[in-house]
Amino acid sequence: MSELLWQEFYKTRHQRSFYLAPLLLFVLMLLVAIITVRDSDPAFYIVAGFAGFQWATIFLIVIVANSFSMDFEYGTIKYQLVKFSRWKIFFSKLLVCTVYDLYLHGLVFLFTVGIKWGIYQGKYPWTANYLGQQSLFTNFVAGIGLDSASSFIFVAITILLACWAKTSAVAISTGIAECFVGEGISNMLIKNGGHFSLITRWNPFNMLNITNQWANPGYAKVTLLSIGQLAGGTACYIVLFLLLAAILFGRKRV
Amino acid sequence: MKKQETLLDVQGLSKQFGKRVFFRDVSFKIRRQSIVGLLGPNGAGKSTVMKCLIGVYQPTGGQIKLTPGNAIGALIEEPALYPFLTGKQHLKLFSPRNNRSLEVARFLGLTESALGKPVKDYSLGMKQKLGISLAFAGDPQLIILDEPMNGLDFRSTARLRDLLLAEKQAGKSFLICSHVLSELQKIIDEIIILNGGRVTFESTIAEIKHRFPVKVQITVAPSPYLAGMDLGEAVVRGNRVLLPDQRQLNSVLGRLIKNRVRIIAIETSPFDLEQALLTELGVTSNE
Repeated sequence: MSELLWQEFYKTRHQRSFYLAPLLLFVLMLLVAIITVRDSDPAFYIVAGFAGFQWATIFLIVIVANSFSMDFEYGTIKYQLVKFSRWKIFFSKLLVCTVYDLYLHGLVFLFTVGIKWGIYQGKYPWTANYLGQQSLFTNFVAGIGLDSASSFIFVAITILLACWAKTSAVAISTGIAECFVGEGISNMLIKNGGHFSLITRWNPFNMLNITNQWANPGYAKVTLLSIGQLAGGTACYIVLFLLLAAILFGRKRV
Repeated sequence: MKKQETLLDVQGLSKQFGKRVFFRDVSFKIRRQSIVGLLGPNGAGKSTVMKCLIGVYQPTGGQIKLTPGNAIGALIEEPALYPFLTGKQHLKLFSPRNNRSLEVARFLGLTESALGKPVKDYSLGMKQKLGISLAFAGDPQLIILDEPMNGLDFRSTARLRDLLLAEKQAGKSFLICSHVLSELQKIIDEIIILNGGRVTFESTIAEIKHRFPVKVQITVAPSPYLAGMDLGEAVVRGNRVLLPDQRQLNSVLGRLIKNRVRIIAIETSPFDLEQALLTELGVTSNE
């Protein structure tokens, strides 16, 4: 298993996206920080990691889709299957993706601290109260923690799609599309659901609002779920999607 | 290590996807220090059998017994490589603890500069050489090679042949699938033919050679004594003496020399595995 994990990390480490993603992440976060410097509520952008959470999720989708598709696409899965079972291969890929998720969110943390210091310096101290709740820092760190977990819904959906489709392109494009329209679709389902909104509020896209609701508890009016329910729903969907993905991975033709 | 010891024992192997049967009741053995050729028409199920042997597919039935303590390496279908990794990175990825693959890659002609390039810049032949080298990753005892001569030039083909024969001498066994019978006949010890999902023919090369011996033709100068000579099974056609095999060559030559018949040339028709198999299986070359 350690050999398999080493192989997965080695492959990920040697892909161009491994180095490009942090660089792009920094540039995009810096751009958002510069653009929003005159905004009425800059603290919101600091807590939101200068949109770093969203970018990290998009890069994560690309890495995850490639990780689960490329061995089938290039046929290299044959080398692994000679030595290891499909379950072990699936689990090692999942573990690498989890580490990459944490790594990207770690980078969002570091870049946010760095960019905030570079642009705002002493203004908006981390200890300052945000929205009358906890400090800016507590809000920001909790946001990172929640986003690392909730972005795993995207990871799980992307893995499911990557195991189902023949190439990574389908998983990447669908995953990114979910990033942009997922919350919109969810809001539409809940808003127009009438009596069915009791059911439609449990749609998987609604769980993506967990970070928004943490930062702004008033968001519960949109999601119709408490933060605890959103966390439970997120966990259930992640497990469900990963189980389905594992079944598809086990049956995928080589 | 005993040469005749069975390394791989395949018994009653079958595989079907849904209702489609790929092969049924396939049984064969691979002994240590042997090279076995798995032959058959396109779609006979050869690659699927190989994939079952290495664990890519779970067989629907039957047993695959590899002698404990041994491992299998394989190159099945086209070489499976990551375009963004260099040759050397592939070798490190799949063979991190020993240099066997690197030695094979160098032997097959992959230079240091070639190994330093990303695989996306490789030619078909270079990919094939790297794919073969990766089959040696971890120094397995049994190596399965599917069309290993694909994309190789004549020099590389000769090097591959030398490599396989040397590795066999060193104790390895090979299961090779190839349509290049002229090359295969130079290295294999045994043949298994798979047709319509079943093993239809199994024999050693020695047995086939015994059944299809090398024919000999002696060209002589015109001689009045030739017609009346007793040359055993040899047949005289003009100024040529045709022998069905090599066994009587010495005695026929002796008689010709004794009768002062001048010998101009002795030619042997080389053993042709393709012709032998076509005859053995009762198939004409047009079929």
